[in-house]
Amino acid sequence: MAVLARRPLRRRTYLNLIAVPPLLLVSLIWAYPFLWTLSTAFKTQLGAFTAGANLVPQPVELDNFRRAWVTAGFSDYFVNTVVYALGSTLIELTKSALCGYVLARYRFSGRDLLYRVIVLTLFVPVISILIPQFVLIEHLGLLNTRLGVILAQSGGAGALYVLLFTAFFENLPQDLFDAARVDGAGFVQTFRPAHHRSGRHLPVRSQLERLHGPAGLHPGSAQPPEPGRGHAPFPGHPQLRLDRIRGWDAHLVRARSSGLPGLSGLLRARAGRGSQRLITEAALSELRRRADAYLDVEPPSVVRKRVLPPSGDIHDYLSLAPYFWRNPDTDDGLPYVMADGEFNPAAMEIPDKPGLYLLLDLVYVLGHAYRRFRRPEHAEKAATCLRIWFLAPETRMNPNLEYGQGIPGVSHGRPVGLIDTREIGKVLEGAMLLEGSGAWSAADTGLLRTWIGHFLTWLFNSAFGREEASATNNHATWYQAQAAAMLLFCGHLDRAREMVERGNRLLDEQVAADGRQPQELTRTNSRHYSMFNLLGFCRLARVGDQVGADLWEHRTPSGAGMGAAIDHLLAYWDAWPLPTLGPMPADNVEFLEVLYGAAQHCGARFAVAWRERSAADDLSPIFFGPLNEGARRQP
Amino acid sequence: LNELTQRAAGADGGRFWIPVFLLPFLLLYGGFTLWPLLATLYYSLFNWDGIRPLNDFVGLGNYQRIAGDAVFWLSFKNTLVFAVVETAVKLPLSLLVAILVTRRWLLFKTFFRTVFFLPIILPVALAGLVFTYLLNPANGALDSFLTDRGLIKTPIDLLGHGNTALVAIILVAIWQIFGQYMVYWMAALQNVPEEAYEAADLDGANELQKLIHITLPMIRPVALIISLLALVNALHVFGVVVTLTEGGPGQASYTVSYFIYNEAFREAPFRYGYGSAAALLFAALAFVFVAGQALIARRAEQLRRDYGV
Repeated sequence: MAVLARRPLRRRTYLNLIAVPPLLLVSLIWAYPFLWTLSTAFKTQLGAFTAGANLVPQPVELDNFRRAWVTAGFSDYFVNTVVYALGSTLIELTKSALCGYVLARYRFSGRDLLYRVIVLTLFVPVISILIPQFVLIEHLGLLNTRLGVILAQSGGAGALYVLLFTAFFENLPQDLFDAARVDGAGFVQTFRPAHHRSGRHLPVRSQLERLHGPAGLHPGSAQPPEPGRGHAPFPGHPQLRLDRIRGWDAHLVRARSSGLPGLSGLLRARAGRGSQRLITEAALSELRRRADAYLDVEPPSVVRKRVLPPSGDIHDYLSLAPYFWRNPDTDDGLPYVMADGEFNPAAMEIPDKPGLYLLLDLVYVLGHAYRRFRRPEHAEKAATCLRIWFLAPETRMNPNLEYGQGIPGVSHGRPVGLIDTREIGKVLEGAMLLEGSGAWSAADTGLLRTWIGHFLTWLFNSAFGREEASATNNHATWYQAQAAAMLLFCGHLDRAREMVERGNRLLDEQVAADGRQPQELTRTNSRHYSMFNLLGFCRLARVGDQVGADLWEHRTPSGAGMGAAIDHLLAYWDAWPLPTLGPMPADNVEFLEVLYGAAQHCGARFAVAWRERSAADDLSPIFFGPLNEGARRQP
Repeated sequence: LNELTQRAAGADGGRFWIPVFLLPFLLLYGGFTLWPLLATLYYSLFNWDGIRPLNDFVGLGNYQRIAGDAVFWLSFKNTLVFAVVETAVKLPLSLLVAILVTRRWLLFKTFFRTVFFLPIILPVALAGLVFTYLLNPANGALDSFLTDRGLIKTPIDLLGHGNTALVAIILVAIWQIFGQYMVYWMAALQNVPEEAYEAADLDGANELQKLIHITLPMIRPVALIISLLALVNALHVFGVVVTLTEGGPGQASYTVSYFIYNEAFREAPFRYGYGSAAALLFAALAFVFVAGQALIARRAEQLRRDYGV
């Protein structure tokens, strides 16, 4: 203990020994003109000119102050200055904060034009527009008034502060705003300082907790639990509550909102980059940390929701479209209207989707953790969650997605809802890794396989499934990717191969000669979807690796392919040339997975890019999607 | 208010509130920036002293004359030199100081912060005045200090020679504005989560590694904005020039803002139309210059690509 306590102390002293002397020296020089000004105020006129570098006034003259204040009328100047400063600062702050907030947080017509004009006027020397300002003040009848001066001062140089405020509001985490909206905060309330008092990382959790309170669900959307069904009301567990905020990637959101262990792990790894031993350890300890964190999670289930699907069967999975919002033009808010790319947090209030996302990651992480650490509690937790979601008659999900991504006032479910299960391969891999643990046997995997078989039947035969299969964008890709993963899991290797080979046609349709993906570029979040679609192709291609189909090498008629598409993505990732919304929480992790896949199959340039962009816990592919580690043990 | 927000809560009231939020800015901005700018554009087409009726239309004549005006181009060159050198010195230095005074381990933090912030509370005019005393070759503090210690034999007149006058202007400007940029950097540094450093400490990273791997990447987005600001502000340097050298000796330390001021307000007959044209021409040139910088910065950013956000 003593050694541990002394080390930082010694280091502190050492650092101060290096830093303080030069700082002191510079400070003296720095303060000199200021001190000189101060001492000159006490010097006589003669003394000021004969003192040289001397700072001590001889003799001390105090009359300067009286003369300045009284004879020179400084008292009036002083009052004026204070009035001008306070008045113009107040106006400046108010208008810039309001304008910056709107510019940063809302898209409206003319926004980009306004922003550009503001930037342009930064370059005009203030002095050159003095006369027209003067003319305007004169016309307003404010010439020679204090108000006139204040207005001219706060009106003339506003551009800069607006840009500063815009940057500030853009940097606030979206979660805060989402949380405020979930909480029912209107436009003005969302702006109020309370909601971004912190403006930063750590207090996010406390902010969220404060905003949500312990009650969990947002009042108004919650329906009383159906009597006689015997399911517990959705508990106010922090895990699931936080999922509502964004819910794109369960563990990532959780990491972000719980004091950022994810980020610090990432940075820790970055700081130690270059040491392979540390990298592996960091990855494993991160896996361990995530797995342990899942041990306390309430097992998710579709029967936890408080609204019944239109079928009246609580076992049917129910989710709402994420990009649809209450209609502002109707009293009941119906039909909902689309704002592509803008997550409506209310959609995550039905716990099925956050629950599913949680389950997918939980089983995957616990499966890999069990395989490495052999801790029985990891396997038990995963097995319990699997049984509750898929197998137990009271709590299981029906193997269909008839009510996925419904739009209130429009439809109960849509084909695109199939995107909700896109990561199902993770759960399948996790389940296989659990085999032999005592908590989960090969027979249990067999039961899961039966469920998946039913789900595949629905996928291939339902109207929704067929329609989703014929989509022209990432939805088709992810349909193939999840179908291929499930076919592989069920042992239908030939059909899985067929499924992967159909990916060739998708590449032909979706990837242009230069690697662009035109369908994804039409989205408001075009950068994200371009990456997201390639992630789907990577998943599909990895199933292909298992069944002897090589999607990585496929060339479209124009000569492009996955490599070209990922090249294009990599080239523009940091400076996306098209309008696009801000990054989604998991964007960087998912992008790394794409690079990782490309690194293994499409050339060394991707390996370089991947390693450069990875922190150490990313350097291990553990945190990417299915590694097909379980699949190798398939019969 | 409560009732209003509730009513508009459907789409969180944006359609009503966005214009309301924009209005104060747009009014002042339109009146005191945009309209004056258009008026300036209009005046620049006239031979006008700012007082008599506006009736001597000369078209692009003013611009033609500026293109051949050696003083304008000297001012332009001085302004560019000033902007580039001043920015290149003050930004890294203020960042370094900001980093040091935000370290938890540093002693006398508050003292250092105060000292480096102090000059900004002096008005630019006063700062200039003070330095004309300090740099005065006859009895100024600098020369007294140097001659008393036998470091120089004859007093040097920093402000009396063309090149050294510009150097003096740059140094005084840096001294005066330093605190502001230090505060900008300190604000940016506050956005770096403490856990990042703690995590790095656990791995035994040294201060330099923390700086390179954590601090710099995380403040990079703000750094771009601060650099842009610094450059734009430096291009409009005016107060220091007026108080320190009045453009002298001769016209050796003219900057564009001072040139415009001189044409439009200082020497009768005032040439307001001519000054307006010079201002607009300079605004255009400054834009090209700064936009070029931003473009290069973005390009470099893309090339480096070592950070994922």
